[in-house]
Amino acid sequence: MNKHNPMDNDIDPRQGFQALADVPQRDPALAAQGKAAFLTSAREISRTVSQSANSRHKEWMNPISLIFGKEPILKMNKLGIALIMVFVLLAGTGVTVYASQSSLPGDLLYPVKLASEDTAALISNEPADAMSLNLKLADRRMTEYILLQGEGEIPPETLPLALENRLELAFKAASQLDDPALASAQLRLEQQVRSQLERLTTLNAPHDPQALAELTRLQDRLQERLYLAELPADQFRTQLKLQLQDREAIRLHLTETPQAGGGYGPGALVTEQPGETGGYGAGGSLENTPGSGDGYGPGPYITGTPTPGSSYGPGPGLTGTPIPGGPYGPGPEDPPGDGYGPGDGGQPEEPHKGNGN
Amino acid sequence: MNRLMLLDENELLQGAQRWDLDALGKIYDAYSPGLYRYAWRLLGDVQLAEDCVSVTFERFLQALQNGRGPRNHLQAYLYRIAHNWVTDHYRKKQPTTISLEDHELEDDHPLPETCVNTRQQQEMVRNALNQLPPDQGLVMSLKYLEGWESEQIASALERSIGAVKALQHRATAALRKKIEFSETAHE
Repeated sequence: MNKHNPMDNDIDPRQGFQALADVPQRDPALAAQGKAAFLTSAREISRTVSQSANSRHKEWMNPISLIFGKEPILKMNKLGIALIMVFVLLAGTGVTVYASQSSLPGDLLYPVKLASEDTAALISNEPADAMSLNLKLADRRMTEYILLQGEGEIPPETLPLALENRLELAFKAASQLDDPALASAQLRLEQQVRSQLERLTTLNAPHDPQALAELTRLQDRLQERLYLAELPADQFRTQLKLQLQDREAIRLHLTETPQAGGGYGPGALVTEQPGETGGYGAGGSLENTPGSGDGYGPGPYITGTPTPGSSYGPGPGLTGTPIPGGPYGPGPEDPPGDGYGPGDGGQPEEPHKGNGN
Repeated sequence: MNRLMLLDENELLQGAQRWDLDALGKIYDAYSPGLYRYAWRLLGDVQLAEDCVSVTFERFLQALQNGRGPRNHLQAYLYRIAHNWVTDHYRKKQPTTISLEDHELEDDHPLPETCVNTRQQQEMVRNALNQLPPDQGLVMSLKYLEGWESEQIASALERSIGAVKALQHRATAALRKKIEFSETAHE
């Protein structure tokens, strides 16, 4: 058989490799599985070893030993100890923040991760910096969302909201840029949102109906963002402003109106005061009744007298005189009720001084 | 590879060293398609190529865990791992026969002989590449399969351009000799 020799070329060996030029398209499902497996492994490893050997703060002892000899602590003065304590405190905080970067919602260190991000966001004053940072943080939220879904967990409701919030902040920062900068910023926003939508498409539809609803809602919100990012600069600013106003109105509405089934009722405009004995329980007549939830309502306005003998009610009247020499209160001839509180009109006499025994 | 790409790569690498999952995800997105293509060209099998990509990234994580991860040139580092995996695979592999059923049809009506010829040519180049010393195989693969410039390869392998060209020259001569020998043996 007269075969073509793929390397039989004295001029350009590239032609010899033509046989390997065409590569079949990679299966997107396999690629997505590969990525999920890689990130899951990364997460597992980062949990067991949060720091690489090179990054561990283990060399700090060596210079101290070199400077102070075998018993460094004894030779240190108070200032030295204080400095080391401050250093340890700062290093410890740094290590915690560092270790928290791979945490996911539900992990112990996740709030530390969020706090470190908030701190970073606080010091990003320039709109361009703020936009970049918030886009990066939105991407982080998306990674967390996808990882949790990939692991079969239901992401908490706060996660997609946090993602949307970061995107909103990024859009807001972009709107503060001047026109030429805004054009490129919009392009970046568009690419980012589109990429996030694509990442969501790699997910298998969750079995849990609530998780599925959350996923759909998130896709809708990202589509809205995509639409916004594609608008001309002036419309972008106008539409974003309107969106922000709407959201602010919704926020205000949510904070002002008690929700049926919600937790704590307003407590304002209560015309009657809780009874002195206070306590929990169904409220009395209120003009504005808290929601029907299980919150703490004001107590009833008690007009009646507690039953004698019951606890915490007013005791019966005291007319008797304490026994001379008795330590407290009136004597047993006219014993008070079992409860605590004022009598029903009578005033105990000043107890006689006794020896208290 | 321009300066911006290098900067991005170093930023991603720093993120990976902090076990930032976002950075690790971006690294996967950026390099896994190229690694897959590379692996497929050298292996000629979809599942093996996926395995190669998977092992490459797994070894990268292990290296990070042990504090031995790359400090720069992440892409070249990943290709080196993939190339070593392929070399090991060929060392262990038993010779295979080529059948028509194995062949993935690339057009609607290929002639059976065309299929076999294409497959034979691919196998011939693969076998020849994999018989080269690893550094020569890597240089040739990066140069002619991935289209890297000599400067990029030199920078990635931390060698001079002259050294890379010398490797390339020796590899080309060796490949030609191997294929000539192979053809003579077939005839």
